[in-house]
Amino acid sequence: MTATKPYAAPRQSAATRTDADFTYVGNPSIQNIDGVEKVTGRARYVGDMTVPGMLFARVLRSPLPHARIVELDVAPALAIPGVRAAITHRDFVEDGAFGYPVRDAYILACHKVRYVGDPVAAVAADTPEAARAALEAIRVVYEPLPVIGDMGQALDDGAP
Amino acid sequence: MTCFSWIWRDRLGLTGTQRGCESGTCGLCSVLVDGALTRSCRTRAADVAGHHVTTIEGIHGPDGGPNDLQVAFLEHGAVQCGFCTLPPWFWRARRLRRNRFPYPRADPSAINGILCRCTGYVQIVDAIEATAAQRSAGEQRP
Repeated sequence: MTATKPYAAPRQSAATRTDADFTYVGNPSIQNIDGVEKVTGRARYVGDMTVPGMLFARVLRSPLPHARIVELDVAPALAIPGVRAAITHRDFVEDGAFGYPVRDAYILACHKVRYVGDPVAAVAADTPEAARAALEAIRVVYEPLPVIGDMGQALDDGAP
Repeated sequence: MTCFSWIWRDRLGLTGTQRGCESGTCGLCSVLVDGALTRSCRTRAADVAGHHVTTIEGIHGPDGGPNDLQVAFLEHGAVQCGFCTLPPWFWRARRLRRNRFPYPRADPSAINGILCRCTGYVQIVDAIEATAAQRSAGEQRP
């Protein structure tokens, strides 16, 4: 068995520290190196950037809080000129299941949607207009499933 | 409908005004139209033809650098990611000019309508208050 060092209490607890004790926190001379760009509107965010050959992506999202996906076909979207890609859960290894410790989430909805806004498919196209048209062209049929919308319902006899 | 933030962002390359929710909720895309705070995502380009529009690119100090409110934002740590902080808050500069003490703590409507997820608003309120106090002191000088 290895010897463990005896516990040494920190000399000062966080609660008794003042701003002056910190190197950075509360020190007014520490400023954002890009602060001036930000306050004057010159800072460039990713959404502000345009690069040659850039594609425009859009995500198709569920309009329903809980439903089975009966049919999902992106072929009509891919037929639109300028559309480069249209993907669903089928394009991922093991349907794109992820999560730790329980792998119970999907990058794109697989078989079911579980909230309004759940991503179902994603498209990439040469122009924003083509990407928007691609979303509208995707064929998706939902079969609505029961929704528990409040705590009272969740406590009902026979609640799922 | 052509939303008029598209005109200056995509055609004029003035990207200081951000797009947020694009549904009139977050306030990120606010600009001044003839001096009035306006959400550009809910405004048709055709409706502002012939009107005077000011974006964040038009807000600066006399030397072209940051103005007093912009400097106060930096000094109070009110700029973090900066994405929301930018254009909308600076329209309060207009309000500061009209109202000597628009203390947001007493009058929360002074900072109403803008969502900032970084700061928790305290630093923003501090920056606005400090600027209001400074401007007021300046006006009272003989």
